[in-house]
Parts: sequence; C-alpha cells; structure tokens
Amino acid sequence: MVHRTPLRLLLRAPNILPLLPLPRNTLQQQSRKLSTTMPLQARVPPMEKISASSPSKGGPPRTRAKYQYRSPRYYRGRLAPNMPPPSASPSSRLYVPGPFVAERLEDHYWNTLAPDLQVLSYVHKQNPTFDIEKDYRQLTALRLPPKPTRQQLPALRTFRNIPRLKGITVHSMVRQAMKDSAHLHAAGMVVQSITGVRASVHKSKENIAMWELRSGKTISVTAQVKGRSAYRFLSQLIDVVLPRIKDWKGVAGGSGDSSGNITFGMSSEAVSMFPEIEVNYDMYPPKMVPGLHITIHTSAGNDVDAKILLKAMGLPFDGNFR
Amino acid sequence: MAKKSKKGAPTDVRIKLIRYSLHHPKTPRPLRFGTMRMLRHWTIHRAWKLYQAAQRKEREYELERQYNKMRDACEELRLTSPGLYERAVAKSIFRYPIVEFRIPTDTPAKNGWNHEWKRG
Repeated sequence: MVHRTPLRLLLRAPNILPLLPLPRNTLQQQSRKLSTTMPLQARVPPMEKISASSPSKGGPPRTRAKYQYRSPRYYRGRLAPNMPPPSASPSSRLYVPGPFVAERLEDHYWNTLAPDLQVLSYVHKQNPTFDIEKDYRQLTALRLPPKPTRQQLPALRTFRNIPRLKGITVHSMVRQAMKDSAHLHAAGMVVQSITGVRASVHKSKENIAMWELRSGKTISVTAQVKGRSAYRFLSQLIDVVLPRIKDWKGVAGGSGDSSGNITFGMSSEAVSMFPEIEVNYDMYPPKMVPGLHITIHTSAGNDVDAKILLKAMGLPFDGNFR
Repeated sequence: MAKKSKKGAPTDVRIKLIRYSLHHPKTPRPLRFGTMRMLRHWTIHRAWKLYQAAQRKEREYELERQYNKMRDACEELRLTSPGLYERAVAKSIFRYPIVEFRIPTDTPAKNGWNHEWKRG
C-alpha cells in the first residue's frame, strides 16, 4: 500500500512546494486570472462622467452584481413579506434629513405663549367639600341619565389642553382647470413650492351649472403641512407675506368652523408675494398663479380660543371674535 | 400614420417645464450607507429622539408646575381674603395676550425700537 499525502497538506506545506515543477509565481498568476474582481483603478477611470443621481449606472460595465437594497415602494399591510424600513432610516423612501434650524415661532410658543395662554384662561375651581349629612342623600338619589346636549361645552383649560398649532392645509380650487389642465399643474407647482409638501389633486363631487362645474373633473389641489414645517410656514406667512399685502385688514373675525380651525383666503397677488414664488415669478405663465385657501388647524376645541392663539402668534384679525 | 391634430395655440414652455418636473418618474435613489456610517447615523438619531423626549417632558412639567402654583395661590387667597379673591377671579373682561409682541429673533434690527409708537 502506497502512502499518499493528502492534497491539502501538499499544497499547504512550504517545503514541498519547490519540489513541484511549477514555478512559484504561477499559482498567484492563475489565481489572479481566475478572480473576477478587477483592481479598483480599472473599474472607475478618473475622467469618466458618472451620473450624480445613480452612480451605479454610468461607467464601464460591472463584472459582478452588487446587492443594492431598495425599500418597497408601497406599504402592503402588516403581513407583507417585505416591509419598508422606518422613515427615520436613510434607506427609506420617506426619509427626510433632519431639522437643520430651530423654528423661531415654535420656541416662542413654548417659551412665552403657552404659559401666557395658561394664565389667561385659568378658571379657579375650589377644592371639593363633602358634607356627609347633606350630600349623601343627594348623591345616592335615583335619577335619570343626563340629557345629551348638542352644544359642546367649552373644556376647562388646564396645562394639558392649552391650544396648540396642529397643522396647516393649503387648498386651491382652479376653475379654469375644467378647460385647460395647465392651470391645475401651475397651481400644484405653486402649492408644492410654498409648502414643501407634494400637493394632492381632488375631483369635484357636484355638478354646479352656475360655475360650469361638472362632477368627476379634477379641479383642486391641497397640501397638508404638519409639525415643525407648519410653524415655519405660519411664521413665514406672518412675518413676510401678510404684511406686504396692500389694503388687507386681516383675517375675518368671524371665521372658523366652530371647532378651532380658522380659514382665510389669499388672492393671487398675495400668493405671488411668497419668497418661493417671487424669486422665479417669471417661471409661471401670467395669470396662472392661483389664489389660496389656508386653513390653520389648532387643538383648541372652539374658535375663540383658536383665534386668541393665532392673534398672540401675530396673525392680524379684523373685527370682533364671534 | 395618424394626423396630428393642430387645434389651439402651442403649449407654453413654462407649462411644459412644470409638467416635466411634476410628473418626472425618477426620484433620487435612497441613501446607501456603509455599516459604520449607518451605525453613526443610528446613534445620532437615537440621541436626537432622546433629547426631544426630554425637552417635551420638561415643557409639560414646567406648565404643570406653573398651573399648580397658580391654583394654590388662588386657593390661599380665597381662604385669607374673599374680597380680593372675588376681584382676582372676575371674568368680566375679555383677556388677550399681548398682540404687539413680535416673535423674538437672534439678529434684531439695529433700530428696531420705535420710541414714538403708541397704541392705536
């Protein structure tokens, strides 16, 4: 029986290698030929023009497929096999790089306005006293359930429900969009550029012969701004845009939907005062900058408290609050 | 070949541009980070979230402290002098915050204060 050295040992042992007929470099050369990865310099020539948005597309053809994670485009429910990552993850499609500046209006609200509003809306309730001789009969007596009241009672203000800014909805209905969609597209672009939010398009629900409006036609765009950017939008409105409107008295004192959402309108001249529109005003065709409806959503349950909050923030109001 | 119908004026170039940018299907690709860079990002993100939570809690506690102090003071006043208490909690006037208050800024104007101004 012939003793046979295992091949692995033969290859590994350094003192056996010179015995082989192959020269020393041959193995390395062979391995170099076999490997599919090319040296880094060869893959990306220095003067090659590469697309900034998708650098993997340009350049010479790649020799090896590279794994590239792409989050699924749509959320298909909790039980879907591949879930999109959380929006804070950079690989998410919803990822927005974090806040880079502090919002002045938000800081002002928390530092000054919220404590002020708390003091102004304070109603003192005495500590409850319980007289067992008198109150026991009253509390244990049989009684009917309380009648439901249609009017919502104003909530007692405490530190928990001081009115806050919840969000802003920018809405624009363009009637000319019935004939030419260009008006709607320009309106969408305007709304998108002043809010920084993708505008969504809405269809009309009703036929109104007087306005030559038919149902099912796309006529309006809206955008909802929330959180930090809502503060940014409102402070821009208060500091920059509204003071420049000529002969504007202020938001109508009676506006509001009786649950703390205040709406006012802006003409197309006022909309063109927004700095985002003003810098490239020539990029919009003449008379295609639309008028806007701006709804400010607050967490105050009634209109008066909402308007007091907005007045404290600096929004001008015309007339008494109703 | 179908004839191209030529009705109406040609579309404005600006409208073409707006349509192009609104309906462009290609969005920038998602960011791709290496492991260590992703870890750094995650750490900073967690720290920022923690800071925000602490700030929110601090703001709530501050308001609650102020409310409790206000309530205790009113109760004390009610027990010591009922006449003063009646005047203090009277709701006859409609009270506003200061409407002339502007939002404070880090870089105020050099001559921002108008001394001649009077309430109109």
